[in-house]
Amino acid sequence: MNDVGTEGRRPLYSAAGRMKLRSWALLLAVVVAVGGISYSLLSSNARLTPQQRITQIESEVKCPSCDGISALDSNTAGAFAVRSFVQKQVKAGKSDKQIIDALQASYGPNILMAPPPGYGGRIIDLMPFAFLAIVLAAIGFYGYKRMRGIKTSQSAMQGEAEIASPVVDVEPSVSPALAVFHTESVDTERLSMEQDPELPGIKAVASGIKRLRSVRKAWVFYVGVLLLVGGAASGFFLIRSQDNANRQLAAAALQAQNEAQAILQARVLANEGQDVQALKLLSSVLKVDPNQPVALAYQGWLLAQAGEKDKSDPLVNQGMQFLQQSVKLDPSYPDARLFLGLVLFQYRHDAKDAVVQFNAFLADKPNSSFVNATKSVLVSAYKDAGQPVPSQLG
Amino acid sequence: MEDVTRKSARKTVRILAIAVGACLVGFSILLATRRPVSMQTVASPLINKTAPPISATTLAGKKLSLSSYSGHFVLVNFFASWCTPCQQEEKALVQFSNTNQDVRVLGVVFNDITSSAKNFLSRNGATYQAVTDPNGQIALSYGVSDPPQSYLISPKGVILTEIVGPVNLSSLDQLVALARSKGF
Amino acid sequence: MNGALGQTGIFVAFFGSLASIGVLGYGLKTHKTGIIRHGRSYSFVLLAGAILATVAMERALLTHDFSLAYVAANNSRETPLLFTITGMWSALQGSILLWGLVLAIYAGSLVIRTRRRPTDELPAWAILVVSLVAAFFFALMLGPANPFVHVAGQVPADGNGPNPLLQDNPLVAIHPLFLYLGFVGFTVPFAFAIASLITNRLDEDWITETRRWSLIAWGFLTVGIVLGAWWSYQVLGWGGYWAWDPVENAALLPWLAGTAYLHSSIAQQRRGILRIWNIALIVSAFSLTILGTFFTRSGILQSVHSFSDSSLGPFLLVFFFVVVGASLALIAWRGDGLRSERVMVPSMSRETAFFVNNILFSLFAFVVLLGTTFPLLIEAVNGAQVTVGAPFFDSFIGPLGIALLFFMAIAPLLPWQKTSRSVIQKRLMWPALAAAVTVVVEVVAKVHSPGLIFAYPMAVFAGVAALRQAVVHTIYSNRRKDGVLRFLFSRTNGGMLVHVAVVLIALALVSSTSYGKRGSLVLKPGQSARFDGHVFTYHGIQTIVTPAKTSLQALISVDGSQNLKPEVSQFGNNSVVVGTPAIRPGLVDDVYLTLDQPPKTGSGSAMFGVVIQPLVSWIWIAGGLMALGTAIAAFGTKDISPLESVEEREESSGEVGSEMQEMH
Repeated sequence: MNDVGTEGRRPLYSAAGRMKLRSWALLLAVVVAVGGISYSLLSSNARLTPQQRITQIESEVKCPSCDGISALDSNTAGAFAVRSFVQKQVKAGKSDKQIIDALQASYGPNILMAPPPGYGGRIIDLMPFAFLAIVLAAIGFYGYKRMRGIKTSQSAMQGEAEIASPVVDVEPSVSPALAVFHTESVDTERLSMEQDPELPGIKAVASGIKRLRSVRKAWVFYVGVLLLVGGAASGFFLIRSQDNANRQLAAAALQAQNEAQAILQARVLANEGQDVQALKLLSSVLKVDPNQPVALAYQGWLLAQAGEKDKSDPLVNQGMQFLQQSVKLDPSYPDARLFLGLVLFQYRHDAKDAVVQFNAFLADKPNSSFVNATKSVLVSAYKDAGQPVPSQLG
Repeated sequence: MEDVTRKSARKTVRILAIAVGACLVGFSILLATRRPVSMQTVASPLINKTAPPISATTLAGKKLSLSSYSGHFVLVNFFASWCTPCQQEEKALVQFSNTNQDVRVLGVVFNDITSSAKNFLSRNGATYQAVTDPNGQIALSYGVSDPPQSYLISPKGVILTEIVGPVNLSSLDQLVALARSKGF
Repeated sequence: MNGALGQTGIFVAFFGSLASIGVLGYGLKTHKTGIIRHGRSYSFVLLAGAILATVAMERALLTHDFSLAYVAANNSRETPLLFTITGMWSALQGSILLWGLVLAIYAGSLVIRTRRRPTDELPAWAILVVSLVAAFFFALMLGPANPFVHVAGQVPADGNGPNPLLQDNPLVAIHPLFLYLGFVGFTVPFAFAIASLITNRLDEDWITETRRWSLIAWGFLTVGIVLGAWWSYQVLGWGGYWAWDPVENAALLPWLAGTAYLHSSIAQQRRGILRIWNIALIVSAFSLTILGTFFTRSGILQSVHSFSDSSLGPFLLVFFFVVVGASLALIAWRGDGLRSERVMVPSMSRETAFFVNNILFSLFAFVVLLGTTFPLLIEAVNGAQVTVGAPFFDSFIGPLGIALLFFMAIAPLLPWQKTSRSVIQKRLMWPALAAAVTVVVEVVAKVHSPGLIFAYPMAVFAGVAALRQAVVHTIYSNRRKDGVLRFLFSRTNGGMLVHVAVVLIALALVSSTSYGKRGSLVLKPGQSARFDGHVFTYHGIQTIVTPAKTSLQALISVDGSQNLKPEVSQFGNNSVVVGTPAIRPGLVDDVYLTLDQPPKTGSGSAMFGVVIQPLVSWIWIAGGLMALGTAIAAFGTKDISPLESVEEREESSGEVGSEMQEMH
C-alpha cells in the first residue's frame, strides 16, 4: 500500500506525525483486543458444573410436543417431563451421551434439536464449509481466468493510465456510463495517477508486477480475515458446542431455573449432616439472588445450628438475622417461622417470641411432617413463657 | 483477442449456469417428492423392543407394575381428561377391554389431575386399571408427545405397534388377531 | 353478490395481465411504439380487477356473508372489527388475493413511474414480466386458491372465526401486510433484471432505475420480519422471538439475498463490476420469495405455523422452477455481454469489502436454506424425521454474524478502488479503540462465553464505525455550507442509520439470549415470590367472557406496581386453548409472564412461567430505526460528492475550503 499522494502542498511533517500516533493507537487497540479475548477464552474453566450440563442437554433436546423449541425454552408438560428426566439422570451420574441416547431410544432422532450422527449430523455440519470452499474455488477460478485475459490484453496496450489502480479497465475505450463515473467520483490519488506522464514499457511491466504483488497482499488480508473471523470462530463454536455451547447462558439458567433445585439439594445435604456443603450451595444462591426467602431461611437455620454447636453467639445471631430477613420478605413462608421459633426457643430461650413464630407456622396449615413435633414444642414454649396452653393443642 | 476472451467468458458463464441448473433440478425433485408432514408417520423406535417397565400407583392408590400383566397382550393407553380425541376413543377402548378378557388395557394418565382422570374413566364405565405418571416419566420412556397414544405389547413384553391418535374398535380387534396369528 | 363481484374482479385482473402480456409482447417483438404504449395501460385493468376483488372480499367479511366458504371459515359474527378486516389474509386464499393486490399496485406504480418514456423497451419488458407473475397468481385464484368459492348446501348461520392464534394481537393484522409488501416488492427489480437481459441493455441503467424499488421492498420486508418476531414474542408464550422456524426462515431467505443485492448493486452502480452476480442475487431474492411461499403453503416442513397447509405446493414449486430455470437460461444466453468492462481485483477497497460481505451473506443464506430443507433430505434418504433447530443455526450464524459485523464496519470506511494506509488508520482508530475498551470491560466483567467475547466488541466496533461515518459526513457537508439538515438526511446517512440499527439488534439479541432468565412460580392468591430481583404478587384470577372468547385472566403485580394479566383463552367453538402472555416491557429488561397452569379453584395455586430478558425492546426499536434509515436511503437528499475524496483531501492539506473551490 502506498502513502498519500505526491502533491507538494501537503504539510508532510504533521500528517506523518499524526499517522504515527494513529499507528500506535491502532496497534495498541489490536494488541489489547487480541490479548483480552485470548485471556478470557483461556481463563474460562472448561469443566461444566452438573447444573450447566443439565441446561446444556435441555437446550439440545426438543420439547416433545413442540416444533423446533427446546425443552429448556418450552413450558409445556412434555418439556417438564424431559427436564425432570435429564436432572435425574445427571444426578445418577449418567453421561450426556447416555441421556441423549435414552431419549432417542424412545422418541427417535426427532427429539433432538439437531440431527445426531447417523442421521446426517456430521454432513450438515460440514456442508456450509463445503459450500464456502466451492464458492471460493469458483471465484478463484473465474478470477484467475479473467486476470489472465487482462494480462494478455494489457500487454497489448501498455502505458494505460490506470496501471496502479487495482480496478482495471479491460477495454481501452471507456463506456459512457463509466465516463460519467470518472468525473463524478474522483479520488485525489486517482487524479495524481492520471496526471503522471505516460510510463514507458519497462516501467509498466514493473508496476504490473508490483500490482500483482499488492493484489496478493490484499488477498492475504481478506482471506486471512475470513479465515480468522469466520473459520476460527466457527471451528471454535463447533468444538465448544459439543461440551459447552454457551457458558453464560448455562450460568444464567442455573441461577434462574434451578435456584429451587439448588435449595432443594442444600436441604438434602443438610439432612445428611453435610452442613458445610449445604451452606456453600445456599451462599451461592444468595450471592445471585440475595432476597431468596427459602435460601435465607435455610442459611439462617444452618448457621444458627452451627453457632449453637460451637457455642458461638455471633454465628447464632447471624443465623437469626437471616431468618428474620426471610420472614420479613415472605411472611407466609412457614419453614422460616418454624426455624426462627426453634432458634428463639431453644438457643435464645425467648419462649414468648417463639410462641408467636410457632403459631405463625401452624396458622399456614403447612403440609409438613413437623406439624406434630411443633405442636409439642409449642406446648412447652407456652409453659416456659408462663402462658396458658390453648385447648386445641392439648 | 477480444473474440477469444468473449468466447471463453461465455463458456465460463454457461458452465456456471449449467452447474446451478443441475442443483436446481435436484433440489426441485427433492421438494416435489416430499409429502406434507401431516401425512407422514414415522414408526416408533420402540417397536420390536422390550416395553419400558411401568411401575406406578393406580388411580385407586395401589401399586401396579406392567410385569404383573406378563402372559397377556397389553394395550397401554396414554390419555387425559382434557384431550378431545381421548374422549372420542374412550367408548371403543372400554368396549375393547370388556370384550377381550385376555387382553389387558392399562391406562396411563398424561399430564392430568388424578381426580379428573378418575372421573373421566368412571363416567365412561371403564373397569380397566389406570396409573398416574408423576412428572411424565412413563410417557417419556414410551416416547409419547401428545395424548392419546397407545402401544400394543405382546405377552412376552415386546412392543408390537404404536397407535398415534384415537383408536377404534375394529382396528384394535384386527391388530390383536394379527398378532395372535403371527404367534406373538 | 359478493362472490360474483369478487369473481368478476379476478377475471378482470387475469384478463388485464394476459392482455398486457399479449399486447406488450407483440409490440416489443415488432418494435411498434404505438402498441407498446397501448400495452402498458393494461396494468391498470389488472389493478382495477384486483381492487374490485379486494373490495368484494372485504365487503363479504364486513357483512359476514357466510355464503362464501372463505368467510365462513375465517370469520364469525363475534369476530372484532379489526380481525374481520384482516381476515382477508388470515388464510391461504385471501393471502393470495392480497399478494395479487399488492402486485397489481406495484404494476400500476411502475407504469406511472415510467410514464415519461412510454416507448422505452426496458420498462416495457419489465411491465411484461410483472404481468406474467400477476397472471400466475390470478390463475391460482381462478383455480386451486379461489377465495370466492360458495359453501356447499345451506348457508351457515355463523362462521368459525379466524385461527385462535391469529386473533388476539393487533400485530397479526399488520405484520403479514408488510411481509407481502416486501415479498412482492422484489418483483419489480427482478422484472428489470430480466428486461435488461432480454433487451441486452446490461449496463448499470436497470440497477439505477430499481434502486429505490429494491430499497422499498427491502424496507417493508425488514419491518415485516421484525413485526413477525415481535408478534411471536407477544403471542406464542415461550418468551422467545425467533425459533428458526421454516416460516421465519422463508421470510429471512429473500431478505438475505436482498441485503446482499443492495450492497453489491452499489458496487455495480459506482464501478460497473459484479454484473452477473447482481442479476443472480435479484433472481435469488425473487425466487426465494416464491420458494418461501412454497415452504409455508405446502406443509412439507414441520412448523409452528401449521395453519398453512394447502394444495398449492405443486403450482408454486413449478413456478419456482420456471423462474429460476428461465433466469439461468437468460443469463447463460447473455453471458458474454454480462461481462463487466472492468474486473474486480481484490484490494483494500470498498468494492472488495462488499464482495466479501456478499460471500458471507450467501453463506448465511445457504446455512438457513440448508437447515430448513435438511430434514427433507434425511427423510428422502432414510425415511427418518429429524429436527434442525437453534443449536445448528446458532453455531454457524454466531461466527458468521460476527464476521458480517466486521465487514459492515469496515466497508463504509474504505474508499472505492484503493486505500492509502493513512486513510485506513484515521478511520479505523476510534472504532478499534472502542472495541479494545469493550474487550477490557469484558475481561474485568469475567465474560467467558466465546460468543459474547467476540460479539460485543465487534458490535461496538461496527456501531462506532457507522456513527463516525455519519458524523464526519455531516460535519464535512456542513463545512461546505450546505446545511446540516440536508446532510443529516442524506442517503449515505440513511444507510449508516440502518447499520447502527443492525448493531443494536446484534447487541439486543446477544444480551437477551445470553443473560435471559426463565423459571416458574407457583402462587396462591395473595402470595408473593421473588425472581431475579423482581417481586411478583398474585392477586387472583377472573373469568372474562366476551362474545368472541372466554378467558381466565390472572392478576399479578410486579415490583408492587404495574399489574400484568397473563391469560388463557378459548375462542368461540374452537377447542384449542391459547395462552396470552403478559409483558412489562422496559428499556433495560422485559418481564414476561405466562399462565402455565390456571388454578382449579379461585383460591387454588396457579403456575406462572416467568422470563426476564434484558434489552429485548431494543430489537423492536431498532426495527423502527431500520425502517427510518431505509426511507432516508431511498428518499433522502442526494450525496453531492463522495465522502472519501473530501476526507482524503482534508487529510492531505487541512484546508478544506480552498480544496473544495479548486475542485469545483
